Amino acid sequence: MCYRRPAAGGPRVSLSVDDRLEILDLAARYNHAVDSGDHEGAAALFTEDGAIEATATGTIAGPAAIADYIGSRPDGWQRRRHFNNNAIIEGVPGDEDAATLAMYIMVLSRRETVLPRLLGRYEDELRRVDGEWRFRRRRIIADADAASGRRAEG
Amino acid sequence: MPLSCDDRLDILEVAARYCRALDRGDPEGLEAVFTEDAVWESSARGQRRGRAAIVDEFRARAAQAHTRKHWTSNPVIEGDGDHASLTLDLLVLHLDDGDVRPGTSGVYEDRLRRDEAGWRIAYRKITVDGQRAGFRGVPAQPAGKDATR
Repeated sequence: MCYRRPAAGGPRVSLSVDDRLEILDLAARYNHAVDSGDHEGAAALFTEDGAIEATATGTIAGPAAIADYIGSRPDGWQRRRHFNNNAIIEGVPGDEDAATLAMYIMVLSRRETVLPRLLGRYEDELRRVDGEWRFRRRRIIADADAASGRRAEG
Repeated sequence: MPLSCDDRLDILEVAARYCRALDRGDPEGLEAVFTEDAVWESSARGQRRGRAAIVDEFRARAAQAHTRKHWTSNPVIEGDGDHASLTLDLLVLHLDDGDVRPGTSGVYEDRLRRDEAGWRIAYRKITVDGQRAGFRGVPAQPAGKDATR
């Protein structure tokens, strides 16, 4: 663990550089998996008790349900591309195997033209299981639906 | 002493916290990313000197909260010891009536300083694309009249 001075705004728990980069990698793996239609691969990034929460769909709990959810998108995930930005990673006091990740999310729809479909943010709770960071809870908060009928989709 | 990996990740996170605070309309969050003597300078809005003046500038834009998302890319960090520079490309996404569209683009050129509070922005210059040539700083505009940020 590297020592990190707490920034203004309250004490923070330091995470190592390895942890921080592994967590960014986890977020990227999710995007790569869902954008390539690998729902099982995306679901495997969650803990056994992991869940996705979105306004439109409520809570989807457990890897099997998450894989079903990701695989069931009506027009197919392979026509989407997920982008993240402005990641903020924080440790959890008293629990070195827990962390939070807050990030912007933009989903582009890839059809004849590229259109922003969803803009919002993820608020994730992460847990380290057998040395690997996993999503325990992924909350998707849409800023606004990009057009009528469009819903918050992770 | 060269910047560590921790320093680099911390600096990227400061930039992320700026965007988050700005887009949420969170003055305390903005306060936390600037040094007290910070200078903020925009090709669209002129210069603000001191953290209080910078936060006031953004307080005046509270009505824009949740209608903009500041998206950044291509960070280049250089520095030594307790001083660093950060260059960052910027794209502002606008949410208007349920539609998402790219708004302003530009470049952030920052200088950051580390003290006991961690890394914070001491100087941030924002050059909006199209306003680069001949930029000498323009006077502030009244809140709500500006469509660039």
